[in-house]
Amino acid sequence: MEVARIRLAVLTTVILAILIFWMLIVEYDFPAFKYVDPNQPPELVENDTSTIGQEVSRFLWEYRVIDLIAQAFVLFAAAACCMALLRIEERKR
Amino acid sequence: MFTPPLNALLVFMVGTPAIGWVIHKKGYPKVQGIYASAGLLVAAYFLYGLSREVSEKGIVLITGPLPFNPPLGACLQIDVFSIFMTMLYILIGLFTTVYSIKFMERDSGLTEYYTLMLGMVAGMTGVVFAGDFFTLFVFWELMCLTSYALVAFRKQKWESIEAGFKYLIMSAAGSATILLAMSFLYGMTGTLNFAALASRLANTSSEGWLYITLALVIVGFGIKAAIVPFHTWLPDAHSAAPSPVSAMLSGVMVPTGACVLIRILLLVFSSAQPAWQMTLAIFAVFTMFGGNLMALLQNDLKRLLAFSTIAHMGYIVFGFAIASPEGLAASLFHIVNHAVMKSLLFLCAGAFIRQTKTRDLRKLRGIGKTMPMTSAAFTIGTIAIAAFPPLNGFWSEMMIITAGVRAEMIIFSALMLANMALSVVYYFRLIRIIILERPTKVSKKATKAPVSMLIPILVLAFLCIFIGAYPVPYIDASSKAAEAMLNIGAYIDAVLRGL
Repeated sequence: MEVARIRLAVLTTVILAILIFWMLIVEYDFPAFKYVDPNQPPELVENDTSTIGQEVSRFLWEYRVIDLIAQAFVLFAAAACCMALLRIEERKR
Repeated sequence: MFTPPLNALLVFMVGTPAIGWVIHKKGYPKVQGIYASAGLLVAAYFLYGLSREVSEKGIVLITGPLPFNPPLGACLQIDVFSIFMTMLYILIGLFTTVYSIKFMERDSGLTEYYTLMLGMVAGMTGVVFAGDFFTLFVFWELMCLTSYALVAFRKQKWESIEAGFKYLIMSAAGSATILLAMSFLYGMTGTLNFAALASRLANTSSEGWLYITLALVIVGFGIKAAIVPFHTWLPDAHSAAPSPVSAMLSGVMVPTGACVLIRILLLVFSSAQPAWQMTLAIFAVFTMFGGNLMALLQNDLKRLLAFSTIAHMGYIVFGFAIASPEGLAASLFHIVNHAVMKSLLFLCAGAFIRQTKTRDLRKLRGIGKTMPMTSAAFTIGTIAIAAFPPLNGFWSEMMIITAGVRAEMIIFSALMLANMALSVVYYFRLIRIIILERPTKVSKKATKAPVSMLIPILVLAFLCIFIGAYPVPYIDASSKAAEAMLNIGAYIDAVLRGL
C-alpha cells in the first residue's frame, strides 16, 4: 500500500515536472547563441565533409587535450570497475 | 600533463594493477595498500609545492602541453579553494587507505579496490581543479564511476549490489541532468569555460532559460550532495559500502557535490543570486530535518551515521545559501570538521563491525568495555559532531548560525539551532549504547581492533580535539578559500585577460 502511494507520488511529480518544462519551452524561445562573444570564430572546423574527421580530431587534440586524456583515465577506471565487480572470489587460506 | 598532484594520483592509480600482479605472484597482500598510501603521500608533497605557487600567484592556469588557450581550449584553474579541498581529499584518503590495509585483508580484489580508491581521490581533485564545465564533467564521471564500484565492492552480499545499483541509477540521472544544463549553457553562450560563462551571463537576470538551467544544475549536483529530496541513495550506499569507503563518501565525496554546486552558482548564475539563495536555504532546512528525524529512528549504526551526514549537508548548504564571506568560510570550515568527525565515526563503526559482525545497535551495547580505545575515539567523535564545546564541530556550526543571523536569515538560523538540539538526542543515545550499557553476548566476544586500524582512528580523534582547541589556522584557511570563491573578477581575469 505504502509502495503504491510512493509510486503514485513519484509519477505525479514526474508528470508535473514534464508539464512545467513543456510550458516553459512553449513560453520562452531558446536564446540560441544570444550571449556568444562576438570575437569568437563562428566555425571551429572547416565545413568540408571530406576532411571533417581529421578536422574534428585536430581540434580535439589541440584544444581539448586535457579532456581527452582525462577521458582515457575514465575508461581505465571503468575497466577497473568491471574487474572489481566481475572478479571470482578466491577461497582464503 | 595536468598538475603534479593530479598526475601523481593518476600515475599511482594506473600503477596499482601492475603492483597487484607482481605481489600476487610473490604473495605480499599488504603491499598494494602501502603503495596506494605512498601515492597519496607523493600527491600531498606535490600539493605543497602547488599551494606555494598558488599563494604567490593567486590563480594557477594549466592549459595542457599545446598553446591553445581557454576559453576555447580546456583548462585547469587552481585557486586557494581548489588547494583547500584537495588537501582534505588527500588527508582523508590517506587515513582510509592506511585503515583499509588491515580492514580489507580478508577481501579479494584488493588491486581493484586500491586502484578505485586512488581513482576516486583523483576524480575529486580534478573536479575542484577544473576551469571548464566539460573538464569538470569528465573528472566528475571518474569520481562517480569509481564510487559505484566501491559501494558494490562486497558483491557477494545482496545489500551491496542493491545499494550500488540504486546509487548508480540516481547518480546517472544526476549526471544526465548536469549534461542537459551544460548543453543549455553552451547553447546560450557558445562556451563552457567558467570564466567566459561568468562574464557573458553576468547581466542576464531576465532570461527565463537561465532559471531552467539553474534548476537543472541544483538538481544534478543536489543528488550527489544528498540534498532532500534527492538523498535516497545515500543511506543505502553508506551502510552497504565497506567502512573506509563510507568514510570517503561521507567525509569528502558528498560535500564535493555541494562545493561544486556553490562554485558554479557563484560564477555562472550570479545574476540569479536572490533566487538560488532562497531555494538553497529552503532545501537546506528540509535536508536538516529529513536527516535528523530519520536518524532518530535508526537501529543500524552505519545507517544512523548516514542520516547524520544528510543533516550535516543541510548545515553546509545553509552556510553556502548565505553566500556571504562569513557564510562560505563557515561552511568550508564545517566541511573540514565534518570530514574529520564523520571519517572517525565510520572508521570506528568499521572496527566494531569487523570485530562483532553486526551493525545492529541493540547487539553492540556495552562494546566500550571490550574495545575501550575505539569506543573512546568514537565518543570523542560523537561529542564533536553533537557540537559540544570545545571540540571542532561546535566552532563551525556556531559560525554558520552567526553568519545566518548577520545575513538576517534569522528563522533559518533558528531552525538550524533546533536541528542541532534534535541531533543531540541520537548522538547521546549512541554514547549511552556504546559506553554505558551492559555488554551483550556479541559485545563480550569482541576483541580489540588491530593497531594499524587504531592509528588512523586515534589521529582523527586527536584532530577533533586539536582543531577544537586551536581553530584559528583552520578558520583562516577557510576564509581565504571563501575569498577565492567570491573573487569572481580575478577568476575571469586569469582566463580572459591572461595572468
